[in-house]
Amino acid sequence: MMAWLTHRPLHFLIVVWGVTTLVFVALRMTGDPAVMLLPGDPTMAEINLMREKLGLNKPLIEQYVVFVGNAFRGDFGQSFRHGVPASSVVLERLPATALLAFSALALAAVVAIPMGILAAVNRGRLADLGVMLLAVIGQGVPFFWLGLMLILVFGVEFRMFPTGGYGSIQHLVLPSVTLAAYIGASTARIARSSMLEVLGQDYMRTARAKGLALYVVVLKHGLRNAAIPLVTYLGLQMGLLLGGTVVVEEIFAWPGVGRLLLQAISFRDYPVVQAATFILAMIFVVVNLLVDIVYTVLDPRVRDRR
Amino acid sequence: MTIVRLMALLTTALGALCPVAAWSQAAPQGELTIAQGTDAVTMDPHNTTQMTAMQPFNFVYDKLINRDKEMKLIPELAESWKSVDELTWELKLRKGVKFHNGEDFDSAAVKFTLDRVRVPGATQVSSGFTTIDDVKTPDPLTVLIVTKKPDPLLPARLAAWGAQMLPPGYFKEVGVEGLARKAVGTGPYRFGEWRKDDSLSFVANTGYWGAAPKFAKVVFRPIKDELARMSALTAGEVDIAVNIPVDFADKINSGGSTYLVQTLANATDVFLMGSDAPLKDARVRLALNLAIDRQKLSTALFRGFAKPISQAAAPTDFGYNPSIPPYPYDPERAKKLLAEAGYEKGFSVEVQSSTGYIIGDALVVEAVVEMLKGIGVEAKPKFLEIARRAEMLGKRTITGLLLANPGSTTFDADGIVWRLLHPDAIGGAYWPTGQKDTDFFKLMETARYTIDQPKRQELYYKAAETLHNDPPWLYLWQEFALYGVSCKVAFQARIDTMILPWTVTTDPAKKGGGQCK
Amino acid sequence: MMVVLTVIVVALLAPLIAPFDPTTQNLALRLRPPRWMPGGDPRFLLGTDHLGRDILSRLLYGTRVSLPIAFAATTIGGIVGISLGLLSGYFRGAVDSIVTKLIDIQLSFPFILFAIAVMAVTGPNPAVLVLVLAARSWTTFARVVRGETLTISGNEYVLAARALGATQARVIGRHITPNILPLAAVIGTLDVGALVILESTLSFLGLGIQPPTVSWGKELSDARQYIQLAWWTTTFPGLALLVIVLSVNLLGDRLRDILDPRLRGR
Repeated sequence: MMAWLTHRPLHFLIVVWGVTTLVFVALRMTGDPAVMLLPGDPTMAEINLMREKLGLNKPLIEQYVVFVGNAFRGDFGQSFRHGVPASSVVLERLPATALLAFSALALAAVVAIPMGILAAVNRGRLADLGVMLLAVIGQGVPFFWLGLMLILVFGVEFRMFPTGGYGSIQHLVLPSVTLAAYIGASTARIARSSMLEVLGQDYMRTARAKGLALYVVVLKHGLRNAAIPLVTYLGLQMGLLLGGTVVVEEIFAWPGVGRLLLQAISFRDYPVVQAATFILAMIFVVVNLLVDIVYTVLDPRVRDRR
Repeated sequence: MTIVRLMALLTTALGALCPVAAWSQAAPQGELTIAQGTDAVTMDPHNTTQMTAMQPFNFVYDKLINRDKEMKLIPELAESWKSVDELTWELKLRKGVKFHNGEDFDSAAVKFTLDRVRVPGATQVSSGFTTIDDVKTPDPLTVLIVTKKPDPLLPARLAAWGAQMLPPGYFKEVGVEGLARKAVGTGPYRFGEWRKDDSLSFVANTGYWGAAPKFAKVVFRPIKDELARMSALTAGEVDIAVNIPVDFADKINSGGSTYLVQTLANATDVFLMGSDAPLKDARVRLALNLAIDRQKLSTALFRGFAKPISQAAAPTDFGYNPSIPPYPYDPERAKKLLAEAGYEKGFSVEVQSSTGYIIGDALVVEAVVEMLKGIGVEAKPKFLEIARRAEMLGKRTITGLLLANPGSTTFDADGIVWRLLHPDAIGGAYWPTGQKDTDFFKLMETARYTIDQPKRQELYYKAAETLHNDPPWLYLWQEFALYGVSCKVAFQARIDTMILPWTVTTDPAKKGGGQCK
Repeated sequence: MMVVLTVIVVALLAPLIAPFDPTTQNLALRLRPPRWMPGGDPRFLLGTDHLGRDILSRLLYGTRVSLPIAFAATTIGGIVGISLGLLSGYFRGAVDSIVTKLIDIQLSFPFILFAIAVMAVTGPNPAVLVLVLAARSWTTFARVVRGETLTISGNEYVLAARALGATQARVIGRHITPNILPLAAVIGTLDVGALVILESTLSFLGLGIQPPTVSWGKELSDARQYIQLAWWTTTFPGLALLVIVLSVNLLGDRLRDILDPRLRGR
């Protein structure tokens, strides 16, 4: 257990280092931020001055050493576009993204998992078919399109919710429904199949044979065991979720990190992209660490094996 | 609190009783919400060059000189200006103006601001102020600006981007970073709250030196997706939505609660021609220009919201030669010219642009490709990521055709001809006719430093003839700007596509032109 | 299954059955409704798009792009993912540690940034798009295959084979891979559907297929502005996408039921 506790964080540290280095190199292979910042008709002299001001005229290795040194202290430099520290640019937008991601995850879990279980328990019957059809449709509709339809129907036609923006529960509804549909469909499928697997186990049959009511069996024994793959899966969804927020934020004018990242990439605002990827990678890593811990708690076998 | 409330109620009630009287001297009331594609990026007016990011500055900052709706220069913080000798401009400043933090606006503030922006590379707007050599302040209300060479356009530069006046005391106190976070100017609105990527708000500055602000609060909201932006307008969440796609013109006008406002914009769409061998031949460049049916494209793609052009400058620029009509659509003559140049079998060329940055860019590329195929040129569409495109422009590595939308920020042919067609400029680097020591080169150098206006105009007319007969670019049209506007407000669009505090009112007489119920 | 086959046939025959060249523009006939609607033009069964191009022809040609791209990406992602998963699960230790780190790096790397970086360096073209999508898909394969390999390597027959002196290559090739492949086939089919959707999402962000190439995802994202003005421009590509993803997924489920021994008979 102790060995595991030290091994995992080391693994994750390497992951974060790998991601930030990759981003550092990938950014510098393409485009020139100096040109993006100047007016549409820069002279060569103006471009060179701007490169000097941004510190881009130094050798790549030197830039990298400075970057790593500062990153250790949490300093990613001044944003090229915004003129304030890049880390604060990112952190200002993090709560909005976190709110969106968690409410979508919660919504997906609350709706999709019971649906998956319902389908598994009623395998082959109408309920199963209905749930699966819904899930497959959920996976077959691009969610940017779903988001726009929701705006047109509930924002413009019925005026039930604002078409976009941030600040109240009403603002949260359409974006989180869109994002929840995106991850909910696959969550329902996973819930169904892991429940099916559990239902087939001997101890479940024994429990049923002992005359326990179906829902007691499912909820008491089934859910606990089916939860392991589900938790893993939802943990993995974090990456997908953060990718999905980019699109949803773009459509619903949601002031989050995804939209910031997209803009920062277009304008080659290196410090912001680097800060954002570092922070996102850290979140991914922490969530995975948590998933690992939950996993160990849920499944004694894993705990012993380690 | 209650009393203020009561007063507000009373004012509203009075306003309802006698609308005309209340209108003429109304206290600021209500909210104005403007939706653009992207948010502001900084409150430092000298450190961004993005159009949508600069737009909010109009509400919080003043410049020395501004432009009226005909784009004529008008006094703002400077009451008057004159050229005292070839190299010196004298400006008299408005008296008693204060910044929002209580600091006095005087010649020291002007000197501080201009000294900041004229240092090459120190800010992102420095390219507009390179002609300034020195700024002198004989007394608090007089400024002398000395230029390196005669600069007929200096007043225009003071009215252009990046000329917003800053309070030196505030800057000293908070530094660059503080300025980037919070704006302090002399404008009709004060900085309110900035929730990044969600809303940027300003509140009325009741002590403003000029006409009182109309709204108690002005909010900018960034909504990137066009459909979402129009939806917010239709749903009544915003009052003005910029960049409405042409296909929605009718829909905006037919809803009864919104209407369309349009204006010619200060931008022309052209394809820059890169370094490919065939494009070095003047006959080929002319042939490509003759192969495009501008009128048809304007009607089909833009419902007429695109005005065909015949030369590099826009019809609304000083120095535009009105006697030159746009090229006729003449594929036969184009083919003949190609044959003369030795390309009777055509040649292959890439037609490039980014997507989503110039109005209808993807459509224009696809349509132009089809038309070039019509004269036997093997045209291929190619779409570039925006930074990739900027790199091609900046490093002068364009090959093939590249869609661009230049505009002169000084509304003068100088901003196109000299700035873009100079041998080392982004649009002139590839054009044989304008290289160093050619006749055209001498012509544009002379025009730039001529103070006498009629003479300058004559020179630019001559330049325009060369630019028509020996085109450096494939000219298309001048853009229109389309706005969706709520029936709650009246809005006057300007050719510089700026939304200024006094261009939006609640004046019922000026709303909608019959589109509002 | 039938649907998938039909789509493949259509893709092969597109030039023969499409009424028009999908790139031919007719600017005078923009946004015409389908034939059966008032104002519809009898030549254009499903109407025209914003450049006056025949939507039916574009859909037919779209089959030649959307599916092959998703298939190719899944295949490449599958080969890479299965190989790495096998090696990682079989040899464990250092190899395993490297592969799991790679997977985690890939998963925590913002995919959008990755896509933009690659597209910007190479310029957008279908081959690059396939690689980008493959980079997204290999992790799924690698994770699942690794887990299965771990389990199978512990089985008695594998241990027996190794005890009898079979080479490592032989053990992997003969004893493990055949047990992995059915599972991989299931993941693969499900992945194709996801990648078709992902391709259209990339188009929405301006990173997908570029004209003159036609793809359903690109059609759907280009036409989204016209949802209110001309519903047919988005509805038909959207339906096509839905139907194909639906049938590919059902095919995957069926495959799982047939191939996955643990689910068989239940």
